[in-house]
Amino acid sequence: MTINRLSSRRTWSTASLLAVEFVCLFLIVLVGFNVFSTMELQKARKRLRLVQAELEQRNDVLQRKRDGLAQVARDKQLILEVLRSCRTVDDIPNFDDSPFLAAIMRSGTNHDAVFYVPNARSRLNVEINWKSLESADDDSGMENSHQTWDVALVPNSGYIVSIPIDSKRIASHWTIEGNSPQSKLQSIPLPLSDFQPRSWSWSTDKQFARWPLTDKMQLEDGLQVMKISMSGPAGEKQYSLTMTARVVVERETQTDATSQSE
Amino acid sequence: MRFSIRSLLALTLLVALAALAWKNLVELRRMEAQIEVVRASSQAAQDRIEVQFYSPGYQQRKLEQDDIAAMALKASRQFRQLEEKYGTLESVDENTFSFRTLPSLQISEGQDVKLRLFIPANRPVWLKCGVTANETARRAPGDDQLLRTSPFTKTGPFEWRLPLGMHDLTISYRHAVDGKMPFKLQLDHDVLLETEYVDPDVRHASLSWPNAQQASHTPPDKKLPGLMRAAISLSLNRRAEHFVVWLADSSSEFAPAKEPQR
Repeated sequence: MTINRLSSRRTWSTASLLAVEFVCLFLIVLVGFNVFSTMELQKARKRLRLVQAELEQRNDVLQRKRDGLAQVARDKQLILEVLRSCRTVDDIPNFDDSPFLAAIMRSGTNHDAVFYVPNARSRLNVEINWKSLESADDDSGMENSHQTWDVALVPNSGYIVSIPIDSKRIASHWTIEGNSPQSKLQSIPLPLSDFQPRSWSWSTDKQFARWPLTDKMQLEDGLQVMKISMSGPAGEKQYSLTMTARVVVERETQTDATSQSE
Repeated sequence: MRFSIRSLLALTLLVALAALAWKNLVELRRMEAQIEVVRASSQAAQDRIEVQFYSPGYQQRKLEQDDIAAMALKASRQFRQLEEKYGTLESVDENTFSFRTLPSLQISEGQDVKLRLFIPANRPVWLKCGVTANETARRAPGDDQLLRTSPFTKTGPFEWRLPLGMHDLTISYRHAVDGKMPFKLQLDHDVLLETEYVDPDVRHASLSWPNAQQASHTPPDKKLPGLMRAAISLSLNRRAEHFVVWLADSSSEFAPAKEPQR
């Protein structure tokens, strides 16, 4: 009986020993895995911080560029609005050697456009088209016509081109005046005498363009700084008159005098 | 087989270590996935940087930004000078009302009309505003032409006795957003009225105000001027009410929206 009990205890002890060994082995594996995974986690956290910092840095670069572009848009608007608030040519800021043409058309008592021409040879091309609104079958030839003028522009200076309406509500001429000593006020008679504009429409044009121009269409046609259509009586007939002013790149030698063609 | 305390402790330790290992494994996988997501975003940001800003012409655009910023700085300095140049208002005497429009920069969100007013000691001046449906009324609508209810959140009419001396009146208009078009009247730093035209079809308003670029004086025998008329336009060019601000010599017993500070 005693022998059997001893034998049984020995058998149980062997199984127990095996279990203990298995548990110890399993413990060592688990401890090892935990140490390894904790280290890996730390490395992963470090990697994550690095890539997050990299992403943040790149997003900052993008944001700065976006802010820069938005700031450019705000700067352009400020420049144009300051031009809009200029009441005389002397109010137009001196932008020195700026390579940009900036122009804004205004409508108020007079209809005019304020613009700054950059450091480049250019001229203002003014085209006036007029037609009688009453005599579609009129064949006099003078009722529907157009006339153009070219005015050499002084680089690095500001201009106001305008159609003044006098106290009798008559538009008798168009004017151009610059803020450089060479560009005094020029007043050019409109082709219609005693023209009384009763209604007008205009496109509120804003222009902001780098010089030299690269756009082919702008190179050929120039940059439109003003376009206004007016209608009303001149004498006994009703007329419509459209004035378009464009800044054109000067390619050939041009005299400072105003040239005119019909 | 007996289950001893030692076995229980060993088993508990095993389970705890196994749970920790599982947790670490899950955390590691989650973190690796997060790293991949952040890395992909970072790469996309880098791609955008390269595509947008290292493309040909980038340096040119950067130079343009600097040129435009320099122009904007000159423009803002010039505007400060224009504010001084056109901001002075000299009174004639204590019987004559004087005012002039101040230079103000148009903003893309709307328009601020700024007026400098001189209220003489011997002439009471009432600022009035209201809503009228009468398009033909020139500047100051008759009391019977003023509406008491309208799509404006505050229809009025309102009036304020203006304090003596020099004051700046700002009439602000903002373009409609989500069917709401705000107007605000401000005397110096004191907001007199804030109201909104509320209509899903409201589009914009056409503002007209006196073109008093130089001081305009109103002696006692002359009628005080209108200050602003905003013609509200609904979609499909439907005309709606007019918001009108004007001055008068006497009270109409309108309720003040708020007393101006003295």
